[in-house]
Amino acid sequence: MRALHIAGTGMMAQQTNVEVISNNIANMNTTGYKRRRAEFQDLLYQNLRRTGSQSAEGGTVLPSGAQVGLGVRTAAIYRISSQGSLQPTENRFDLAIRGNGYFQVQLPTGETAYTRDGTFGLSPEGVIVTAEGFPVQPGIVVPANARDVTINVNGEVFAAIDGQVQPQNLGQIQIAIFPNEGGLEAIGDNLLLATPASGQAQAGAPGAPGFGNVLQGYVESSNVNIVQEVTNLITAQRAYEMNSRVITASDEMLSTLSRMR
Amino acid sequence: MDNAGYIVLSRMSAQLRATAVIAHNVANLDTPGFHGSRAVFADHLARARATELPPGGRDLHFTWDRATWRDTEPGPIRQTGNPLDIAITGAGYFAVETPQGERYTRAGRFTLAADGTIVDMGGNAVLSDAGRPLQIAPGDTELTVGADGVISGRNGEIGRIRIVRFENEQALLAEGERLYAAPPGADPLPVDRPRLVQGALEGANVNAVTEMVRLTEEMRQFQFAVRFAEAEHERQTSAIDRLLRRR
Repeated sequence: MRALHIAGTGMMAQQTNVEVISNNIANMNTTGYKRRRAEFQDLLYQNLRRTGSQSAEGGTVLPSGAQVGLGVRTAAIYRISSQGSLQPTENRFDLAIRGNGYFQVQLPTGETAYTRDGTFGLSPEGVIVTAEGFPVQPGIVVPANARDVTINVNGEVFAAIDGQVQPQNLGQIQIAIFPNEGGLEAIGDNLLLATPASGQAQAGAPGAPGFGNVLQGYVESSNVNIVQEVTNLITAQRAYEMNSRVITASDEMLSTLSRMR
Repeated sequence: MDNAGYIVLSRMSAQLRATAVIAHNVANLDTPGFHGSRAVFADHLARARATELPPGGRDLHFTWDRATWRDTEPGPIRQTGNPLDIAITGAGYFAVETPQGERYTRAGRFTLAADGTIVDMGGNAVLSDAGRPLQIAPGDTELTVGADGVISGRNGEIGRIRIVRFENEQALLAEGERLYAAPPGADPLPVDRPRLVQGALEGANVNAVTEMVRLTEEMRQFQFAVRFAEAEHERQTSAIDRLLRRR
């Protein structure tokens, strides 16, 4: 009885779907979170009768074959990297990227991770760091006597220092872009790692062609659209129910068979 | 000589396969570009031999699930906002290059490979109308896909996506992973004026209501066939009983 197993694959797929949707809803207020979507594809097919084979009488060619598919499986869970809305925070080290690009963060292991979460602050040494304390690359040190820090759309950091008329240029925050953002690997804590699928990171100044702008005093909220998620959740639940209906019906057919006198 | 029993048996086994087809449709309710299929029944004529009446034998009609017929109506188009999600609003298929040769798909969920080639979810390169993979230079971000399939980036036109159609779409063999193979002799023909929508994806064209109704119908007919087989069995038993009693 193939129908039972086929409907089983359908239920498993919808379960994955609900898991992905619940993760999106749970991260609705996570800064820089990009929503995910589960992608499905059909499993292989059994050819009961091949297209183009000849039927018995007179050599007529069958116009279409008989194929029975074997269900569905999860093809991928991909990130939708559309822009999230920008939320003003009035914190001078909060940065948001408008457009393409990721902040580069140096992990304690020495690896570079990428993030859209620009909730930054200062370390005791005055280095601009993420909420977890990882330095943002290239490491920019704000002197202790700085009165105010301004970061312009191109990522250049200026400090107003007591006794100086001209603001002092401390350096430029660089952002990275990828040939295929979808290939980045999420490692939690809003951090992503480059993989062969994402391609080589290309670092550059914000505002350069192909790169987004940096906005001071804003953070990018998640791009989760709650209406869309709830709609998807309802669809997933109904699809799950329908697959279970198929199982019930197949079971009823089998029990009819076994009760056959 | 138990023809009635065999005819019912043919119906029952065909119906089990038809249920598997429905189950596959329902399982793929959420598969982009999926086209649902349907079992087609036909009666398979056989001539019963060695019967007295009428002379020359009688025609017996066995059930035969002759083929599966694929519904090629386009599915609903859903906005996704992803620049490389492309839906075909009319007829036609995308052509992709797989290790087994050229394959065709309706699922326009594409992404970029590490080298900038436009690929489908299985990593197969999407072909241009020149038959080559479409390659995008690193940093060339603002991709637009015109309704006619022309992809252009910041630095100008990159290429045109190849859209093909077939004389007989039913002849295409579904291979899973949303791909179709063309059997020998069924060569793809170019679509002169494809209509594409960027940032949208074609859903499965499976109608849940129809599938559920068909499933119930299939189940009841199966139960009816079983009841018929039981009745036939009773008839034979009582006939044997009566014949024995008459002795």
